[in-house]
Amino acid sequence: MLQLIFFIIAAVCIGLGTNYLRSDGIAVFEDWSALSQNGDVGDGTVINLEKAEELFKNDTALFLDARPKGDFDAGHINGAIHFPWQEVESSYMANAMSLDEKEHLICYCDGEACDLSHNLAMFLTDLGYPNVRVLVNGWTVWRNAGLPIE
Amino acid sequence: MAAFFSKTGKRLRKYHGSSMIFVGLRVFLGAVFVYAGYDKILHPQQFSLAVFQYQLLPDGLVNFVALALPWLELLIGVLLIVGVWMPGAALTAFSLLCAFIIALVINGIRGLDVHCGCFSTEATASSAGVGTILRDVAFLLIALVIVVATLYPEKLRRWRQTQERRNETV
Repeated sequence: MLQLIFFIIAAVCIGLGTNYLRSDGIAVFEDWSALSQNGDVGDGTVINLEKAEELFKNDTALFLDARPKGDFDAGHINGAIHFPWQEVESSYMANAMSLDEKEHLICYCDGEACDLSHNLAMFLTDLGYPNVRVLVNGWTVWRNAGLPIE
Repeated sequence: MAAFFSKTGKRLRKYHGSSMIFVGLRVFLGAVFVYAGYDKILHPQQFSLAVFQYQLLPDGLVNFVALALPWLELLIGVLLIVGVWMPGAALTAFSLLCAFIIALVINGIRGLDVHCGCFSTEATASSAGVGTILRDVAFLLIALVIVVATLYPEKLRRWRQTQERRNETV
């Protein structure tokens, strides 16, 4: 038990020490609340609802729904393309032309812990799309704000 | 403390020095922990997101755990491979695996579709599921064997002698 405590303390010290020294270190105590997730935080991938609404109204953003087909069919953001993470490669093949039509790509799914949209955003960023964003808990916040859905 | 660790090392060498199975198990489990910690140390931002998505820790502790946990895994992995400070290393490995399994089961029950974050922080890594839990249970059993063999070497030696005597009589 003594050794276990010693290992934990050692790991904490090494972890914090290396994080302090490295150039891409992260904040030791970061606010991960839903509020900060809905703001423009971290690496800038996340977009807040107001900004997403603005891009939607300017018609400069294409919304990508990363949820399964049943959820998409039950309701989605107006004009959104169904782009399920589980079938990301076939979805990309089917929608590759559409992705170039708008300046911004906004990925969303449902739930604050849902990472389908993050995964999709990283996939598209890796493919070279420059303006890919994630609207965290997108379906719920969009619908609750009374914005256009279909 | 140094005397304690030294004494433990001697006990281990005495009772497990010739046991290839024990050595194989602890080196295997050690390699698993080293492999698990390596990618997380390289990508703390991605791993902190994986920790956050489990939705089990207070927000303020997410990054703290994401920074310390990979180093704990690496440290335990190295100690298991080298075979020193074994009681603590085995017990820590066992405790970590218990915690991982509990976290996976809780999220399975809650129906959260999260990436495991077990061996890779990549977005394309597989989602946590029953297979992940079963894999961790297998690792847990290996850790349990190492814990028992490390903490109770005398009993293990007696058990071995009994087995050998039985084999001889057969």
